[in-house]
Amino acid sequence: MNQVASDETLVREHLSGQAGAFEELFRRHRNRVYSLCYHVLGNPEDAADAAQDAFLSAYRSLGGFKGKAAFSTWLHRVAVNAALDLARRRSHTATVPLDPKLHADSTGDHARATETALVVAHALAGLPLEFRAAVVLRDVQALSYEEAAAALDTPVGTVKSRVHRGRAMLAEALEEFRSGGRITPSAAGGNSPTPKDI
Amino acid sequence: MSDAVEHETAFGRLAAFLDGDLPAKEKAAIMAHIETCGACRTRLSSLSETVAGLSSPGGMPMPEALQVRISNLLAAERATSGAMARRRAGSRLRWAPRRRWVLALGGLGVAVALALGLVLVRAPRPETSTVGEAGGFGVPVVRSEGAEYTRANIAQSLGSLPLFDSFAGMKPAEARRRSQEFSSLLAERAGTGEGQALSAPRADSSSILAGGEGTTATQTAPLVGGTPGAEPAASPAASPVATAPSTRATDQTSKAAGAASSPSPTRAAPEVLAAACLAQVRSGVPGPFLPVYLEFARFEGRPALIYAVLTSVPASSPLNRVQIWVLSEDACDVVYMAQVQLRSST
Repeated sequence: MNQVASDETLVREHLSGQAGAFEELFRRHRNRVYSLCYHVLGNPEDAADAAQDAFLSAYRSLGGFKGKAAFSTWLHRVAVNAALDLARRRSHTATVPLDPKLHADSTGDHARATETALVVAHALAGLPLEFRAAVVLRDVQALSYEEAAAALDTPVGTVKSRVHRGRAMLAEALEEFRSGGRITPSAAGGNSPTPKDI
Repeated sequence: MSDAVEHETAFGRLAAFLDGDLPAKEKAAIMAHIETCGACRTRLSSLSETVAGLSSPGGMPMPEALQVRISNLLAAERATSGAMARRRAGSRLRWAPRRRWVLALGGLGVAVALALGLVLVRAPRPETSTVGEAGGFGVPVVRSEGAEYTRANIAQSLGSLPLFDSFAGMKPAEARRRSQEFSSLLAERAGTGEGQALSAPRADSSSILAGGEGTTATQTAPLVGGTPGAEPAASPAASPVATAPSTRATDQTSKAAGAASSPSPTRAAPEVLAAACLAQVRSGVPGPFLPVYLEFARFEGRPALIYAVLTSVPASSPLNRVQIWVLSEDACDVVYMAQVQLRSST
């Protein structure tokens, strides 16, 4: 029944009391919201809590969705706020495990791409929160800068700057990893300026 | 003005360069620099790899257990606000079953639920499906496949579902308000007669549907030592307080024997049972009454309806108890009740 309905149609149906409409929105967006939370928070437990907060918050505040932006952009805003709130409440730092066997096993293009993804994910967890959120929205979630700026309620220029600087830190970590020949938990930092120096 | 750029400038602009949104003149200058600079080429390559490494088309799959948790919470949210909001808005809540719910429970199960877009997911507990909500009451309904509960395990199995957590902080006034809504809804339905027509296949349905209004109150009174929901003074905060209904046990045995000798030709529709049993449970809960979960499963080897109800002991305190009510699926008799401290309510 809802297979072809747009998100915005489902929102209207939900607001008019139609059962199942929000469940369909949940089904459509749960992976992207979880992915956003996971990359911002860096561990599955926190990601689960943030994703839960995000969907409950979205359910309760959907009446405030005016339809000016796409529903997915609005939901990203709700979700990134849930993730950032949780990150600020919880003191422990994000951790993305890095497999020690990774480097030895990495041969061939596919292995290299896998290695890159893991090293970058590991380094991402070490970025300052605001940079991390911007990079996740732009490069993981593939939002446009305008959408990311709307989600973060931050000027586009600021978001661009954070994404660019965040990417540079990640690239530096990747180069550090490739040249170092070893994987250490501090691969994101090494001898280069760490996010804390920013 | 020279078009050439310093290395530091170019190096710092590579991430922006990768986006392709630099002014044409700056872009050309950086390209010219890159051709002569190994460090910049390496960095551009790393940046490109980084962006590719971050890409996650379609997102990460949400773990199934989390899907269940959020689905249940959304259903609970709807249960305690959605139905009430609709009712406050003046729309008439029908006694009539929701077609999708009946179908989903009516044996078509998985295929129908999927076809109707209902949430259907696997839970870490025995195979369960959230198949809808109970009639117009908005209580989420879960159907378990193969879940076998006993007096020994039910409180532990159901007493600490994440579903309940979101209610732990509800203010007493809000809990009372929602509770009154439920109670008046039950009374309204009992008085309309709509339910009776629906439950016609059952010979004794009228007595079930009237259950909330009199006779059952005395029947369920002995359930927990004469004071349902009494403060478990000697129990530790997290330990379940379970009491078997001793007087009902005898009734239950005789009824079961009777049912075996003359089985009912037609079973009541699930939503009729769900509502009738809810009235039965209501009569046994003196404090605030927020039903938040209904599971069709088996208890001590027999088909059963299991309601989870949030309440307060004493009645004026915030929600602090989960009561697990087990009712026979054939006649809504209360078979067992267990009470558990609501997590994080202290």
